[in-house]
Order: sequence, then structure tokens, then C-alpha cells
Amino acid sequence: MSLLVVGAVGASAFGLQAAGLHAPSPANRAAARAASWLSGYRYVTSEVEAHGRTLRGRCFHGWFDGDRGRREERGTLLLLSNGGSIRVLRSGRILSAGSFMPSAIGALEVAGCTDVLGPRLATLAEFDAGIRARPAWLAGRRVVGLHARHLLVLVTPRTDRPLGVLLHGVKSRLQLRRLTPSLSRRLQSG
Amino acid sequence: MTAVDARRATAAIDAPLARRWIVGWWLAGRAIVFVTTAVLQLAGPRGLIGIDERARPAGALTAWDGRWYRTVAENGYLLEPGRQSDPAFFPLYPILLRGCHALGLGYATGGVVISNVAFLGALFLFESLTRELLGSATARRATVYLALFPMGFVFSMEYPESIVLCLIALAALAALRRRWLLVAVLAAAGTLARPEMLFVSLALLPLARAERTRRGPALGALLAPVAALASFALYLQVHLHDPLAWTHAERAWGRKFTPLGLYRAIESIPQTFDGNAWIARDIGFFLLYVGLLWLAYRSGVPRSWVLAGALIVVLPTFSGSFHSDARFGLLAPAALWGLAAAGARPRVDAAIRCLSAVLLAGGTLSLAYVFP
Repeated sequence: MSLLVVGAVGASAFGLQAAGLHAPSPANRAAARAASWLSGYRYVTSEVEAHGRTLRGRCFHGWFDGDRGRREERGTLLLLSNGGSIRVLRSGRILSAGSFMPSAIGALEVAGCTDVLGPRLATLAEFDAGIRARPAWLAGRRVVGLHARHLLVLVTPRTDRPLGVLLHGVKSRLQLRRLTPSLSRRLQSG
Repeated sequence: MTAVDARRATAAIDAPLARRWIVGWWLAGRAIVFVTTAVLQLAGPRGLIGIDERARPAGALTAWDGRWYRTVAENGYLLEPGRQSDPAFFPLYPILLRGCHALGLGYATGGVVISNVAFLGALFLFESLTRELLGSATARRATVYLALFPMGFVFSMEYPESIVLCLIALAALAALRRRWLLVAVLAAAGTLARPEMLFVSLALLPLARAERTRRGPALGALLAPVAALASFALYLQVHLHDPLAWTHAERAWGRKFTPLGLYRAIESIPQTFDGNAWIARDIGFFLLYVGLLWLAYRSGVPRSWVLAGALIVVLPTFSGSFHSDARFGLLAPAALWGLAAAGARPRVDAAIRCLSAVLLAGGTLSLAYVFP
């Protein structure tokens, strides 16, 4: 009798959850997986197309030399092929020079900086039911576009690995890369 | 209608009327919470409450975990490994929010309505339970203290505590009447709202052991919370492919249960205090609850209830943190019974009521800075 009660209660409880809650949309799941990809990397390279010109970016999250010879800081550092750079320090301070967008955070998102784009995607996945997933093309390759307000993130169809970003008309192609010790040292010195 | 039926009907009507003082204390306590919240919204510090929550009336009551419960109701569960995500929040309350939403209420408004109405029900049921276990004088004091309890602002928030307290009292009353199938349903529902309901089975164990004719249903009722928890794990497995998603999500909040968790919690007090001095409130309430449970034990509260209360208060600290222990203890009725024992003398009783009312307002104001 007790097993019958336990079984009936367990089945009813499962039925209540199945009927009472709805599953997140495939787009939200994909955004969560894309955020998860980004959380696994500290380094990303990008090709950014802005205002008719192409820039290359290298974005790194970790420790790096501080501004004007100050002691090491932790945060996100984006180095651009035009000599520009954007630093976001743990204190929240942003140092920007030669950015391709008025918003430094927007530039870091377009460049795929993992510690900036990742949390943004994670927040969208969790709280924004308006994300939509639509087929898209990137360099002749079929991909999935995750459309949120003002932001489009392109991901691979099955694994949802981030491949590119489109924000306020500026688009990029991303390459998540493993950080080697020598590369880390070079980036740390800015 | 026979004379007996008529007497029963009259008694059924008279009983709630005779206890309408509960409504008065409910109104008094909720007035403190809502007026303080209004002051906080209009003139209070900006604090840490989100802009969208500040924009709606009584928005502070829908802040903090309320946002997560709304997210589950709106979007369903989504696990984000390594980040704070919603499987840490149990499903019954979001299901109720969705029910309210289907009736045309917004999620936030629905949450505040559900919690406050459920708290009124919880006060009536708690009074009935306490009266049956400890007599009417203790029941009256304990119910008044519950209505004014300093952390009781949580019962008005978009949190499941008032629902769970309601279900705890109702399950216990059903167990006293040997209605074990009803106990099973209520205990399972409570577990789908908060895991603390598991410990209530322990409080009901002596009643089940005393059962002579319905042992099977009684045992089933005590195991029902485990079945409910298993059903939640199965749901998470089906939808997120991780049956332990709720414990994995908890880790992003710095909670991980280990045998040395309490030691870690005590050891990390200085660092935690440096980061957020509000931890002193949770540690203070932890000590208060332990003291009240001791008083409850000394004053003759059934030991099984004291033990269940101790587990509700102490076990969360084995996750390595005292955070939110002040809120968790709200679901330990024995702590309130200990407080009622302390307030047996009229002067102490008056002091507890006055101090509680002041602290309830202060606790509500703290919502601008810290999660309950």
C-alpha cells in the first residue's frame, strides 16, 4: 500500500510539472549553450567589418599589465589591428582608444570577448523569452542566427558554437582559441 | 437537518468567527510590510533592487528570488553550467504563478497576491495546529508572533514560504486526524515548493508509528516528499538531461553540501562579512532559532517537531554558508513555539510584540540592500 501511495504521488507530481511548466524555446537553449561555449575560453580572435573596413581583433580575459606601467590588472583586453585597444578592469573602469564603435562594451561584444559576450548571452538565454533562432549564412556556410533585441549571434547548427556577431550594423566573425602560455605572456604585456 | 448536523454547521461557522482576531493580526503585520515597502519605493535608497521592480507598486516584494520564480513561470527551466540559473528554484510556486497568469493577473502581482492570501491561511492553520498540540494560550501568542515575525516580510514576497507554511500546518492537521492520503498529497506539494518539507515527515513520524490500522498509507505519506523530489529530478532529467540540475545550479550561488560544510561556513565568516556585512543578520537569526528550539524543547514541544526544526535551521549551513538562514527558519514551527513559551509572561509578551513589529519594518527596509 505504501509503495502504491509513493508511486501515485510521484507520478502525479511529475504530471503536475509536465502540465504546469513549459519548456524553454530552442532559441533560449541554443543561447545558453553558446554562452557555455564562451565560458570555456579566455581568448578569441575576430574579423570585424565596420564602416566599410575590416579590423582584426584579439580579445583576452585574465591578468594583464596595467595602464601606463601600473601593476597588473584583471579584466578583459581587446587589441585591434588599427592599434586601438579596449580594457575593462575588474573595478568596472573602461579604458578605450581607437574603438570601431561608440560603445566600448558593444565593441567587446562584437569582438566576441568571452567574459563580456558570454554573460550577455547567458542573461538573454535565462530572462529573454523573445530570442528567436532562424537559419542564416556566414561565408557561404549555413548557420543559425540567434536574434535578440539589437543583437544577432551566429552559431553552428548542432553544437551552437559562436561564429559571429552582428550589433548595430557592425558584424564580426569569431574564432574561439585555446590560450597557450607563450600567447598568454605576450597578451599580458599588452 | 438533524440537531447534530445543525450543531456541527454552527460550530463550523463559529470557529472561524471566533478566531477573526487572526485576520486583525494578519492585517497589522501586512500593513507594516506594505507601508514600509511603499516608503522604500517612494523615498528609500536606490539600493540593489532592479529598475523594473522599482517601477511597479510594492515592487521590492517581487525582487531578488522573485525574479527567478517569474523566469521559471515565464520561460521554464534552463541550466547554465557555472552560472546562476533557475533550476535552483523549485517548481510549485512557478506553476501557481502560471495559474494566476492564466486568470489574467501579471506574474509579479499574482505572486504577491498568492503569498499574502496563503499567509492568512497559514496563520489560521498554524493556530489550529498549535492549539491541538500546545493549547489555546500558546496558540494565540505563537500566531501573533508569526504575524509580526521580523523576517515575516518574506511571507508577503514573491517567494513560496507562505505556501509551504500553509502546507506544513495542513499536513500536520491531516496527520493528527489520520488522513494519510491527504498528508501524502500535501507533503508532496510542499516538497515541490521547498525542500524543507522533507523534514516535516520526521515531525509526523511518531503519529505514523502510532498508527495501528493504516500503516501502509501512513508510511506512504511519510515517503511522499521523497517521491515528489524524485519526480522533480525526473523532470529535470527529461528537460535538461541532468537529474541533479538543481544542486548544480545551487553551486553557482556558492552552495555545496559537504560533511564539513558547517565548519566551512563558520571558518569563512570573516571573509563573508568583509564582502557583505548583512551576513551578521543571518548568523544572528541562526543563533536565535537554535535558542528558540532549545526553549521549545524545554517547554514540552513534541521532540519530533524540535528535531525537524533543528534540521531546517542547521542543515542549510552544511552548504558552507549562513546566507538566507534567517528565511529558512521561518518554516520551523517549533521555533515559533519556543518564542511563545518565552512570551508566557505578559510583559515579555508585550515586549516581543513591540520589538517584532519594529524589526519587521526594519527587515522590510533591508530589501533595498540584501536578499532575504
